[in-house]
Amino acid sequence: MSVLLAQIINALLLGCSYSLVAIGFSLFFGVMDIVVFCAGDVGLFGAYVVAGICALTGVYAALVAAGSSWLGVVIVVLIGACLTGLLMVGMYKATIAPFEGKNPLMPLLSTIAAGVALREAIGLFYPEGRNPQVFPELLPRGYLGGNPLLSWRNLVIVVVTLVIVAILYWFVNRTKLGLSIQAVAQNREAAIMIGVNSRVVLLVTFLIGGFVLGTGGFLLGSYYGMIRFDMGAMYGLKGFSAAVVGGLGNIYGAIVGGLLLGFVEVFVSAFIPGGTAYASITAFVIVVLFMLFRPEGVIGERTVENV
Amino acid sequence: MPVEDGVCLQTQGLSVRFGGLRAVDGVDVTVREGDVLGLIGPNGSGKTTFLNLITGIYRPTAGRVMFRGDDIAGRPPHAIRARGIARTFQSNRLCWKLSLLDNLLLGLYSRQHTAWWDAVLRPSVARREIREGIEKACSLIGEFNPDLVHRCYDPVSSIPLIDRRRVEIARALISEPTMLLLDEPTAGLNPQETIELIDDIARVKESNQNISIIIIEHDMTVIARISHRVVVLNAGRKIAEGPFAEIARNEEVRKAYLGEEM
Amino acid sequence: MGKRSFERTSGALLAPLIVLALCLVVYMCLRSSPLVVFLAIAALMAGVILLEMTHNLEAVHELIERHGRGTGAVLVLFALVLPFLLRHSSYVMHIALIGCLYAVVALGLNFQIGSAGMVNFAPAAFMGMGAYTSAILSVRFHVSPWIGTVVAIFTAALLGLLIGYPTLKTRGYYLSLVTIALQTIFTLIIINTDWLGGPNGIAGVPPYQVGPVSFGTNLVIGGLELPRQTYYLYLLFLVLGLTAWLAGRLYRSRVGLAWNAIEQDEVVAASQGIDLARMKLLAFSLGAAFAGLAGAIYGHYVSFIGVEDFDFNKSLMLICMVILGGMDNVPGVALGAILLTIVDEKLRDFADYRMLMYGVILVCVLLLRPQGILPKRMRKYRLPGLEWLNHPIGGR
Repeated sequence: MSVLLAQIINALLLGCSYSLVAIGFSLFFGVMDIVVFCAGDVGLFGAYVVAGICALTGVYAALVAAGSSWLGVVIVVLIGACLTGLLMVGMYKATIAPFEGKNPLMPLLSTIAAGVALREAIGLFYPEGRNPQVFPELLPRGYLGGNPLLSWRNLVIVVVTLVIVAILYWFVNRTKLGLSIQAVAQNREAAIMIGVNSRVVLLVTFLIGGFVLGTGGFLLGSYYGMIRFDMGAMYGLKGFSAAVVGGLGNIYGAIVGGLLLGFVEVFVSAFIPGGTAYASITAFVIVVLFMLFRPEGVIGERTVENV
Repeated sequence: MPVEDGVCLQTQGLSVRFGGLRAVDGVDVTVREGDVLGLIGPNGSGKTTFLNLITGIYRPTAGRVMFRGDDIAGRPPHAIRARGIARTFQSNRLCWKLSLLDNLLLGLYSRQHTAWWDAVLRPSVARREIREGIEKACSLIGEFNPDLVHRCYDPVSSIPLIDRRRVEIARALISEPTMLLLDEPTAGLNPQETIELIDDIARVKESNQNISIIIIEHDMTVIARISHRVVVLNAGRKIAEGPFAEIARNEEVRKAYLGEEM
Repeated sequence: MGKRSFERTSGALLAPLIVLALCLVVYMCLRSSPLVVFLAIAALMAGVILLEMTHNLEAVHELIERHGRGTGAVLVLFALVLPFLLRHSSYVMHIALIGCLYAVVALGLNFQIGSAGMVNFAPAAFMGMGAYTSAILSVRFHVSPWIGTVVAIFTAALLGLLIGYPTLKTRGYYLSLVTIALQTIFTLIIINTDWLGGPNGIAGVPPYQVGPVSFGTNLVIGGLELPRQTYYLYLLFLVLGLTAWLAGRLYRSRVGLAWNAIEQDEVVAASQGIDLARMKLLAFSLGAAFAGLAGAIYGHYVSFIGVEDFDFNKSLMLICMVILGGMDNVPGVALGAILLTIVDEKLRDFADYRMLMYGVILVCVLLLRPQGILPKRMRKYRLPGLEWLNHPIGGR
């Protein structure tokens, strides 16, 4: 029974980090109808920034020495996420914006290429980049009430995810900028006509998306305890799959998809003999089935083609 | 259901629902061989949807489409074209990046037989088919507008709207269909061009006595001029049927078209 | 009258010369340093753009088509002579070989991407299917490599049907994404199945054999010893020639037109009588057959195959070849494949920076010249008796 519970928690954790990447994909797809394939690598960049700050600069150590280590963690993660947001905006300007209005294959390919370039750049320019890096243990150790299933680390991961989702929900539904994002996502021309500055909206969307991705990367690193420069590819692919399964363009769908995929992977790994090998395969097969038989995902709505 | 002689197309209780919306609701229409049937109704009344049901783009949720005795409801579009029902689209759907000639040749696809291995194994047969196709395409479009013959390799996006409409009609006619469905062919044309295009369509009918035509139009002068009978749809249902003069006096039709000039 | 015959003779000379010049550019790229390669490709692009701006590119295309015999002869001669010119460098011959291999795969991929507009991210899986089929048959079951290769064509075509089938229900984006997922599944299945070699691959794949002569040995002609790749190079030239010819024929036929129509507007295509499912599956299975053939030959050439040879990165590279060369343009795609292979190999000089440069170059190409070296052309029909089509009265 406790084995089952432990696996459920694992699935939840993995699902959370997939969800955050999936949210990134859905945000970008919703606003521009494009799949930004480098999202996984961008998320990993966030993890590397955090790891870099801790390992290469004395910033974190200084913050810990100065006072609360909690504050130190928050500041370091914030820096990482913000830098990732800026990177994402840069990626947008370089590899997505130039292709607006053209064949959607172009930004798909250019973001794939950008992902490759980013991955390689990390491997080349980060010290010992090609080797796996130990991810700093920023999350508190120990267990809530001594219960081995409720480690602080896991709780923080889940809570952070929920907080991000809650903030996003509030932002997208209650603020003017957020509503503008929705407007642009639903009908860009109409949004422009009612006075929405679509350029600003797009930039902000990518900034926020990058921020979310960076946080996701940090959580991924915390979950595995280590990061490697080429993890971004698979991470992105899984996150994207989660977004599709949940419903591309829908933030809640991204969460549902992320959790679903997390559960499939963990359970196939744990409970099917020889399953670890087939965990990923199963996840992708599910994605293919969804794309065939329910492309609008779990939450999405069917559209009818007009002739 | 027994098939009456001379009936080309008959829909029986044809219906389609999209979610809660009944786009076409129990429509019975009969088209005899050689008929020109006008299909009118306010926007959103289901006229184009009706054509889409006949041509296999939508699958009906109820009812039958009897074409020369066979129920073709739900068959895929390519099968229906092969059987001899050809159409044009309201939005003038051509393959924009292809040449004028290619767009016409596409219309002949359902009548050609060379398969992919023929291109390799029987090149002379394949070449002959293409040559005959080109000659037919050029002579057909030349009947509509002789200038177009010289623009065979121009991308079809570069020719004026009225000629694009002609290309679409020629594309439908080139396969010698039994039935021609025209969806608002004069939309977007000025009055002079409208008259020219209707002359073209009338000429087509004269040289093909047996062809049946269903024409959707909002311009009533067109309907008045070439249709033998008119069917009126409103909110997916047929509300009136008969010769144009009768329809023009019909109270319910007037109400459906509230404010429209008849 | 005199002017026409002058045009004809000068054309008959000019066309083979142009093709010869292209061959020489390729030859030069094969032997030179990365910098020279980049300059050569830049010069080639500049030449093409210049022709485009003066509206002569189409004329050059038609000129070459009109004098097909002359240009074909030049290509055949070049192919025959190439191993002699490269006999001292078996590495350069290897590059030429791999370039031809990828050209065959790219031509197949072109049916899906270039002609029918279905962006397939799994061409490497098709190649891998062919390679693994032939390798397993010849290594485990001691089947002759030739038979293995023929079987490989069919299994790859079957995989093409299998992967093509899901794409029938998807469009545009989703189609690409389905193929990405399927390519990934293919790779994962191979890694996790020991019988298929697992992560260690399959070693000891035997070379082709014709009678007593094994393709793995050196060839001696007229006292000159040619490296062992020569047999494969000649085989590949033959295969490339056949596949290019087949691809060209298909492009000109009603099949090519149907594919183009499907790309532009599926509803219109279906309304003209085109069976969408059949044509899409044809594009996939034919394209896969090409890739399977190339994959099988690859296996017997390098004698060791592993899953990294047929993974997502390779698929990405193949897609770039089609785009770089020019979609739906047979000579363009073949040229693009060969040039990109050369570039890829030359980038190895940069060791660690290779993939980074690759990514950056790709983004630059997409930004600056997305239509590729030889852009898509308007379909023209060259048939006896219809020359007036190409010379319209009062036209250009």
